Amino acid sequence: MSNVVEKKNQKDSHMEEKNYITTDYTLKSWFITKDHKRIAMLYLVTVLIFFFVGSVAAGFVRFELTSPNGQFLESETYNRMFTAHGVVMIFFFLLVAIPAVLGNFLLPLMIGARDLAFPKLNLLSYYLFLGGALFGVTALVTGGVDTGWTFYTPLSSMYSNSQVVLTLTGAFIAGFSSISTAVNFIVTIHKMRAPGLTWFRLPLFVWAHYATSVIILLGTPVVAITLALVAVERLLHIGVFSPEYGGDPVLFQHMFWFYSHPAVYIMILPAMGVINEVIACFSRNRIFGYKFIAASSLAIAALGFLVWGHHMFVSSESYYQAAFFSLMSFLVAIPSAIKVFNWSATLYKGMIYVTTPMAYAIGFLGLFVIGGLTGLYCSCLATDEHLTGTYFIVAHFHYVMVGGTIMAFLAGIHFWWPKMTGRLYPESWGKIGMLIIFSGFHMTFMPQFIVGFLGMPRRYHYYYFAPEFQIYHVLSTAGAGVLAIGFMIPVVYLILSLKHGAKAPQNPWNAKGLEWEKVDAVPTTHNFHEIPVVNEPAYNYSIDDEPPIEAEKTRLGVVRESN
Amino acid sequence: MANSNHSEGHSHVVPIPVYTKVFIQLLVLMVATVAVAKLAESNKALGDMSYLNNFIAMGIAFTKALLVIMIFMGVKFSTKLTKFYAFLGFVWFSLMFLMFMDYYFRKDEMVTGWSEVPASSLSRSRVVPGS
Amino acid sequence: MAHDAAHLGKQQVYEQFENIDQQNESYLVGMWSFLVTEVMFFGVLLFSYVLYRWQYQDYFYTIHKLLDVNMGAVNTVILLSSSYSMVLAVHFAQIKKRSAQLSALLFTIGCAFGFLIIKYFEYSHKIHAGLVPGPKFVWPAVDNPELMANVPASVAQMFFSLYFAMTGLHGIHVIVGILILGTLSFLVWRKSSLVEDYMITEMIGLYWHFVDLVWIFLFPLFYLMPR
Ligand code: HEM
Ligand SMILES: [Cu+2]
Repeated sequence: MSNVVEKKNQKDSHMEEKNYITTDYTLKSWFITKDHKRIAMLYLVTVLIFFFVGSVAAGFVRFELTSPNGQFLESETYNRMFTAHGVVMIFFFLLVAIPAVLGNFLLPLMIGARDLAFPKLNLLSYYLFLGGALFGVTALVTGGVDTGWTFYTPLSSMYSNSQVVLTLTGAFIAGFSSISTAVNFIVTIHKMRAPGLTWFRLPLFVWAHYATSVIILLGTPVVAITLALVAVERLLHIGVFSPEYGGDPVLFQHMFWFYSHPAVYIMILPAMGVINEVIACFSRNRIFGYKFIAASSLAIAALGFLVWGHHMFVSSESYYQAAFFSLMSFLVAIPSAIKVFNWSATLYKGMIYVTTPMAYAIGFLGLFVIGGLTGLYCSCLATDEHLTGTYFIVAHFHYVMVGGTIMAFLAGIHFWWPKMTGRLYPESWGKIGMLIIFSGFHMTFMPQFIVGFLGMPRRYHYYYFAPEFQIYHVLSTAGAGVLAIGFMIPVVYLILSLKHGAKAPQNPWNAKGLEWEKVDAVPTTHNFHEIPVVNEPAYNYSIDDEPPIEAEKTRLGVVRESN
Repeated sequence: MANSNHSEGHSHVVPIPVYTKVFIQLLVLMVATVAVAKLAESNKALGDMSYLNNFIAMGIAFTKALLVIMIFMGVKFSTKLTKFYAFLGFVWFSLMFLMFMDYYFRKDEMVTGWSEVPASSLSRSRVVPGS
Repeated sequence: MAHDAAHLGKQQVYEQFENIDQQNESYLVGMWSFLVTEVMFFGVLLFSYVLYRWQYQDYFYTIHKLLDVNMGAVNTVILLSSSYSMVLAVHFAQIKKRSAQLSALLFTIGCAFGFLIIKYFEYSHKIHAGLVPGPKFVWPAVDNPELMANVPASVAQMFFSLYFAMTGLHGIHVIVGILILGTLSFLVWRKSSLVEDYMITEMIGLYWHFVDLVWIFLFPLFYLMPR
């Protein structure tokens, strides 16, 4: 980009013409960047690598299960495989995918700030994540872990003969990465909003991230110290969970789930935030019940801390406590349901354009409902006695985590791809990819509900005692193959779009929100040329709006009476 | 909001005597708590004071903590938002005591599980990591 | 007496902020939300302590006699004094008295070292007496074998596990504090522009008070009230 301008003006024209990607092409400028958008991109690449690693481990697990006697793995290796899958997917992908990528990229843009409150802390959090991840990877290549992602004592603290300490260290460090991101988000949301942007004018994406950050703040240190205690117990024999010292191993489960149930909300709340934005934009409707959705995020954050015991119904928990936690788990489904109903109400009488992000969002709605409702089967004491520890649980949480979080992640990536890269992705390929993922997903996990209900235990290597389960496992494995192909499609076309995609206009979806209306097609380093002043509510859509340009052809055939 | 152009006084400089007073109070409390504990321990003539001592010791600890938080850490002079975050952690920590319910109720149940004290600590052989 | 923000020396406003008040409060809220995580961090250990104490009340009462109240008390005084000198350091930073600030900081660091030295004596005594949980644990403790003979070795190991875990984690915080305070004093000494903003001292102060706060609870829990 050559400027034939006087030297004096050169600085100004730089500011105007260079966006955050083109300001500097050197690798170094990426690795020491303090720009939240660049850090988001670093995260994006990193978490995708981990998604790939986790998927490969899943592939091994699935293939192994196609025969009642196992295919080719040692039992020990099999344990390490599913642990690798769980640890990588949860600690190094799901917990960070949406907040650290989309959240990082969008929060300052959505609230009209030049950056997050603490840009250096943000960069530090990326390197902490990378550091933790490297520990995790080292543990994997030096033998792996066989305790499951839950690290239950005394298996993890005494008997397990694998790289427990390394993995725990990795999770511990990654935890601090989450915490620094959360601190950053909280301060930013409280203190950096543009003039006029009151709490109830914020996009719900921001509310969701606020609730998530509070959960991270209150929960992550608990699991960090708990895991550290396990590591110390292995290394130095200073044991708080040791039965031989009169300690209670189940205390570990209490501590672990005190964080890890809220952690599932760390994974799903940001996803719900994404869904708000996408659904409002492509149904050209104000979000129905804005305040209810905002409040339900906070309610989920608070109530989510009161249900951890539902993971311990068969772990010698007292009856009274089990009953309490069962009740609370039913209650926590209410705010989730409020959201689903409000989204459906937003679609109602809206002008629905089925673009790729919208397709993912609608997919999310269906899958999350199934996942959430089966959560109630698990919360009910009587049914859970039967279901716990079976593939039913596996299917439940994959419906919420893959069907919920990953669908929303993909929705978000497609929705904001033009803003992030300045390119448009190919719409038809997008929808093909979505359909393949959606059907592959059902193929993989629907059979798991059935086989789990029939009694297939999770984390088992063999099922020669019930060869009739094979058909379900084979189906599931085939589905996993479809799913893998499905995931590859967006990766390919998104990468290709970087080079060949059409240049995106400033607001390709004709969407509302500061990040679309007040920011360049690709944001500049400081996001805004001048800090915007906000004087309208969020989601000020109307069905009479101009259609989203890219989406015009794909509108659902809802005809409203024209006036 | 973002541009609240008047900060509610955190930028005020607290005069030294305020700090000194608090410091002296802390020292007095400190001496008191040790004195009570020693008394409770040695003077059996007063009867079993250990429960009383527990309450006094914890009461004094809370008072000291409050002094440090409010004055030394300046929460008293800060905005509502800072106050909120200053107390959130302490409030949330108390939630953890829900776990206590579990252990409390388990005492009355058929399977008491963990609650018996092992008579001896014949340590089971540990698997030494990495071997 | 009260000075206004505008008079508090030079404070650089970073580009992401609009003005100095916004920046200052962002720092404070950020630091406090970090301290929330620290509370939860120690909270886990504190809860474990309460649980096991409740479970083994009488045993814990007996075992605690192995700890030296006087050492604990001296350490409490040391930490309280260091907190006092820390607030003075912040005060002097606000009114830009650099040399006074520096001496207050050095005093704080001195206290921190004093604390660690006493802890070192306590720890090494325990280690020599074989009170570190694990295969080499010596029980009944050599210090008072008749009394301790009533206590199962398992419970004693639990007590000392908690003792070492909690005071150890606290000790790590003290060491980190020394590193941070040392860097800060060095920068103040070199009149670095990095620390011209008093908020830096203030936030480090918050951390240090938190370390003090933890000890305010650890001291009675372990040394004073084990029944
Ligand atoms: C609608 C509200 C939900 C309810 C009532 C619910 C209920 C439950 C229950 C009772 C269990 C324990 C089952 C057992 O082990 O016996 C469970 C497991 C699980 N749930 Fe949910 N759930 C809900 C939403 C979610 C969400 C949104 C996620 C994640 C995004 C999630 C992720 C998980 C995971 C990962 C497990 C298994 C943990 C393990 O043992 O490895 N759940 N759920
Ligand atoms: Cu749960």
